[in-house]
Amino acid sequence: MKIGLFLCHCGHNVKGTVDVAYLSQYFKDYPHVKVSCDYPFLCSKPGQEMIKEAVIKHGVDRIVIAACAPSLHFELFRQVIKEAGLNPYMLKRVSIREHCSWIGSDPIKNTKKALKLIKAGLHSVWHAIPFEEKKVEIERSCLVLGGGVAGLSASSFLSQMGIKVYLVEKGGELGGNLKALKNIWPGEKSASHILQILISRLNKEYVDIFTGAEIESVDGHFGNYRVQLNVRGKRKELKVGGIIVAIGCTPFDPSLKRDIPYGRDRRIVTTLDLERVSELSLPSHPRIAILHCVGSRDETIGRAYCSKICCMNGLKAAYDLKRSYPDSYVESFYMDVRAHPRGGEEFYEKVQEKGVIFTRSNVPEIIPKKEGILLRGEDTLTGETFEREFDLVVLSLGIGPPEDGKKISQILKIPLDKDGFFLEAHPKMRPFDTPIKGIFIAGGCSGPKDVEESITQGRAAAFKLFSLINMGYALIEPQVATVFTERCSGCRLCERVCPASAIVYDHRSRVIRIEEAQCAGCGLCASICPSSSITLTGYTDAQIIDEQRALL
Amino acid sequence: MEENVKIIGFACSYCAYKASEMAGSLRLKYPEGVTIIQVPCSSRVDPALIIKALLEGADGVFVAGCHPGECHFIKGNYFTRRRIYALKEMLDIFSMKGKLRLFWISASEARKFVEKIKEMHKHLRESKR
Amino acid sequence: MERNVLVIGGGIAGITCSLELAANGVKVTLIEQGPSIGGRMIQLDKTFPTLDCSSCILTPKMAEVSTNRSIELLTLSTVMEIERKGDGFSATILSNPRYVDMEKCSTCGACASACVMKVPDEFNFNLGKRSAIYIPFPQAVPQKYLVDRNACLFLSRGKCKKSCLDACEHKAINFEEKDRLIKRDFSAIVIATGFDLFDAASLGEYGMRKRRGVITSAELERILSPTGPTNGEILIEGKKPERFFFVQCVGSRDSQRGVKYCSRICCMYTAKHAYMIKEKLKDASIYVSYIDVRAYGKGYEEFFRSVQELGVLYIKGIPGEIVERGRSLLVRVEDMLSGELREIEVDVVVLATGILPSRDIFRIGKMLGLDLDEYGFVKVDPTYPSLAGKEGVFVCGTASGPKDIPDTVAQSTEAAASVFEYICRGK
Repeated sequence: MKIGLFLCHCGHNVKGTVDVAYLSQYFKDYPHVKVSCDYPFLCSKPGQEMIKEAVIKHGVDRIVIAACAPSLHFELFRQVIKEAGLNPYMLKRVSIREHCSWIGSDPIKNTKKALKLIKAGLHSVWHAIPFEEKKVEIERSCLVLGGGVAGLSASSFLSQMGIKVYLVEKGGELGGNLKALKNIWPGEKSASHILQILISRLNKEYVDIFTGAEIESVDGHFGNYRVQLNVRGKRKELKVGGIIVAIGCTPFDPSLKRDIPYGRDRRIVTTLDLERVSELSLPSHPRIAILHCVGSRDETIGRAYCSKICCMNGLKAAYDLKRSYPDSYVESFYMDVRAHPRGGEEFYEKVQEKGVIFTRSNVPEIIPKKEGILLRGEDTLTGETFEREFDLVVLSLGIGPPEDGKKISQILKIPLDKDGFFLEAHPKMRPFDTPIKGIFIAGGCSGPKDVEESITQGRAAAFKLFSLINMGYALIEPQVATVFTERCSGCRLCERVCPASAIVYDHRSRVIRIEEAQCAGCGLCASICPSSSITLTGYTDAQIIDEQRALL
Repeated sequence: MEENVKIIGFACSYCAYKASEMAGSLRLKYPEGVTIIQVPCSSRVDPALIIKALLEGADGVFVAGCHPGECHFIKGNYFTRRRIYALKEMLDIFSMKGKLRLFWISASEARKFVEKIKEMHKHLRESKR
Repeated sequence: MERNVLVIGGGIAGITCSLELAANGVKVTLIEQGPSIGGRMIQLDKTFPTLDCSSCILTPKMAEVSTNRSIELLTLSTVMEIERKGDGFSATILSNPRYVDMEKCSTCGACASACVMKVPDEFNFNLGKRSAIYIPFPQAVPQKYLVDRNACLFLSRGKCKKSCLDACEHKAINFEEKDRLIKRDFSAIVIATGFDLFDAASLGEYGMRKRRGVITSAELERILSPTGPTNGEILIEGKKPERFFFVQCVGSRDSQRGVKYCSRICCMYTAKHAYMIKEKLKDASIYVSYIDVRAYGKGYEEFFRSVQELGVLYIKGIPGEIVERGRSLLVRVEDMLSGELREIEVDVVVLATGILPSRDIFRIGKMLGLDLDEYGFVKVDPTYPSLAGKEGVFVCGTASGPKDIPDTVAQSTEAAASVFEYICRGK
């Protein structure tokens, strides 16, 4: 056994509080260690070359990399040792950054801790076994949840590429939030026109649409999911390779904000209501107020976040009203005008030129009176309080999390963020991925998004899924449970607990067997087995015990 | 010299271990005596491993898994819950109940994770005095 | 028929698009004007609002580009000519020499230590120095040295001892290398030319490059970076400042002297800078002047709140004037919230400059006959956000308008999807 140990400085990130040079020297004489060295950036090209060289020149047969957290650069380092001719399972990553240099500031304590962590890593790699990946067949089909903008965009890409798509929409028809709108900003195309375009892009041959349908349960794994649908009361089972969740977001319900008498006074409407009604009954020279940030940036209702798209909605409402009622007085009450999208600033200027007054204020107090609606608040620019009467108050609604977020999150086992939107695997680099392979998120269900962003996300998520399932097969990690049949007593406890139904009892030999392709690798069986006859490769008892011994 | 409190934590790779990574990237500080072992699921943690750790000098052990109902393997953490509860009862006989804890931590709960760790560490340090 | 795609620009947009295409077996030629890929993002220390380190998330992707066999990477290269040919394109690419043999160079750095010529380091916005033979930054891809032909005494004036030649044990330096013209056929073209920064010196009242202590946010980014000219220590012109004033919307939302549009990233990167300074200098006093705080993305508002909670003071209003008083700078600003004219004495003024379309886009746009908007961004249809309006031409990242990193990554992946769909249709 020859171990190569590599410590990364990560610039200052590790080196700043961990004596890396001392550690690499210290481990030079450690049992089985053949090479021990440190380098500023192991992830860089020369860092990678250094690791390869250790394998090729010094015959190192297992590698410990002490650097950032194992989830970072996971594929990269695996690829490196693969290219060097080693089995990728002969690699152990030790986190001396996220779990050491970044959580303590004392260099002596950190160095001591890093020493323990590296020792544990070395002990763990003693037990490493070169596993081979297995090839499994996967379904070239997918489930798209949600028939809104993102879901339609995803379905159109996949169906055009010849992937069978099952498009499941809870409502009676496709279209999502777009259905409720007439014109959307920037207004070159109407909402129904956009919807028409998106639907026309579907390749009907490859899309099965289920409206009035919901998912009841999902089991199986990436490549082979079994989905139970409830289609208008009838059950239907599907087999799919992957899933795209695009269940959208929900406009804020203003009646949740108690101090707004919405629904009790017809002179108070929302930006959405404006889309529905064709004519408003307003006096001549109407006085109209637009209230921004209703249901956004408001900690009193537990919504600290900005809804991203409602500033443009509010501006559009102001513009449209001013255009329909040229003799009106329109005043917008805003916290910040976040006219950030392409063309947004220009539109904001146009609205101002049209004569809309902007007053910086939190959402004012709304007091319905007979002759008008009284708004009372504080102008946060001048510090003066104002009281003004209006004939119409328009609430620019914020955006809430998906209605069924919790349910879908539980069925698919994908996490939600603190606000109830789906959590991305990485907010920047993996914005469509979930922690579960083969399940993606797109559109408003991971945070407020406009039409263009939802189209982008839908198509991008579809492409990610396409890359995974297009080949019709995938390589599956061999981290599965194994049995020492000699020790198995045939008590069948494991069979009862296995969540993946991967344990088969052999009635003739009276021992159990593990269906490897089915095994999810949780290790529940290994810990429940009274005779310790099941081990989970990569996490064996002996390995964990050696590891924890090094840590103490 | 101040006695160093040693805690071994088993963290589920789907949630708590991710939270521990995030705790690092957020530069949240916690005592260096706490070390974390990644496991595929909290249900992988055999009680024997916990007892072994305590016998070999750990002042405390915690197991951190996904919130009930959120287990990647559907029901793994329910087994964990039952198992840790039973083990705690047993440890209680030796007045060692406080040495074992079970946390529910989701991938985004880095701050909560660190709070829990710090609280456990503080408790063990005080009882060690 | 083999399908080749040309991706112009090696920033996060070009990298993402290339990798996504390569993952599906498409052959990609990625060209980058500079000596390394990584673009603007690799110059950042941290990214808002999660503060994860930029190189931690980008360097793996950069390394992947260099190891992926489906991607041909051409650095120091520009497109000279593009013509339609059949249902594709024929492109002429000018590739400037590195003067260093990439096969031989071991990146040891001996040549750089031997080089006598030191010039301002553009990666660090000229805040530090580098030699004429250099590597742009530690994690550069390709991980190879190169000679700056304008700075090199031998190449520019013909007079030098050429001690680098002796220093290089691998005999990798070759001054005989010449420009190369590469002609190649492509089925599709992706424009990912990114952005340039607004030149703050054109706004006289802020005194950029005239008054000591006035810097741009881009410069501050490098100063805060542990790989920057001060190794992450906040040192500005040799001094340790304690009082900071940030000016937002420098060049943005200013139709008279800058551009009318909102640059979409400056509010948040300023909040990030304020946070990072507070992290390093607990007692620093920090002011931020703004028109609107546009914290619109996921987690942005919360981050902005946390910055305010750290004691960073936000002033609504944009400074009228910045003057020197003794060793300090005096910022005159009308606080629109209180209505009073304030004079704030600080050590450093940081200008949050907006973004402009890359200069290259005008040249490339002309070659392809693209429809650019009044500023120079590529016009797109919201229902097909990466179609540049001409068959076979796609756009991603900030080339079609200001974007933050999450939007850029999403849009570049979508562009890859559209390219893939396009080239498959022909089959």
